[in-house]
Amino acid sequence: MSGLTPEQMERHYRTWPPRSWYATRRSRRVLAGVGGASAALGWISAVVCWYLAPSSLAMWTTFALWGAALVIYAVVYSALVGATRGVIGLAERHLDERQALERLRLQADSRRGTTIMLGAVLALVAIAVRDGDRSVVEVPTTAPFLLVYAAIATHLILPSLLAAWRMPDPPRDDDEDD
Amino acid sequence: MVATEDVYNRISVLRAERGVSRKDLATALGVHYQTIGYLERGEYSPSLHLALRIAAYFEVPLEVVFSLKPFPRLGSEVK
Repeated sequence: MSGLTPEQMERHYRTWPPRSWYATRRSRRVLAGVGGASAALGWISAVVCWYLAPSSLAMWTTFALWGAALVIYAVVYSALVGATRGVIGLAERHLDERQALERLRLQADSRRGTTIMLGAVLALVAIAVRDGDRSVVEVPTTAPFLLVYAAIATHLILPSLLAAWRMPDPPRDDDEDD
Repeated sequence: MVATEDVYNRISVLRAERGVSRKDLATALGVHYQTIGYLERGEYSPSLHLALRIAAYFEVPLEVVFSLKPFPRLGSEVK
């Protein structure tokens, strides 16, 4: 896809996915919700490993959840690139000043969201490991790794989800007036 | 999207008068055609550079295209 010009890229995304997936604010918010659910699967896998690892159940659950998350988000991301007309997905040099400004705002707001998320994770981990005066807590090694992976994944996809959530309906295209 | 409380423009009027489509104007200015739509709807205020280029495209002074006050309706000044 990287070999396409912006015009070719947009033409591609105007034919797939169907516009009904993102033509209305409601459908875009549904897409954002599905994308958010895919991120949640990563967090769930970390929780599963926290309590069940090491075990084959934890391992296969992790593979299944992350695999599903990747597939779901790949489809959602494709739709979001089309929905935002490239505000997410296209290289900075292909954006005009409005789109570049919009992307900057999304990134700034996403960073605030990530900060809140990390604070919440820290609080939850503190609650999860509280147990009397123990200074050493035994946690399956995979759990912190998966927590970090889930945090990175959420950090990366949050701008696209935020874009889909708050994007207003764009002005009608000239060729839609017919 | 940038909220624009107090910058008004006549881009749609000028565009209609000259028979220029959004895509033509966008191509001439090097912006996405939806940006023209956002400008016309007053949902985005252009940079000074883009505003000057829009005025230059229509070959009119900047204040003919942009204003801090609403433009009078066409015909309202005819006595």
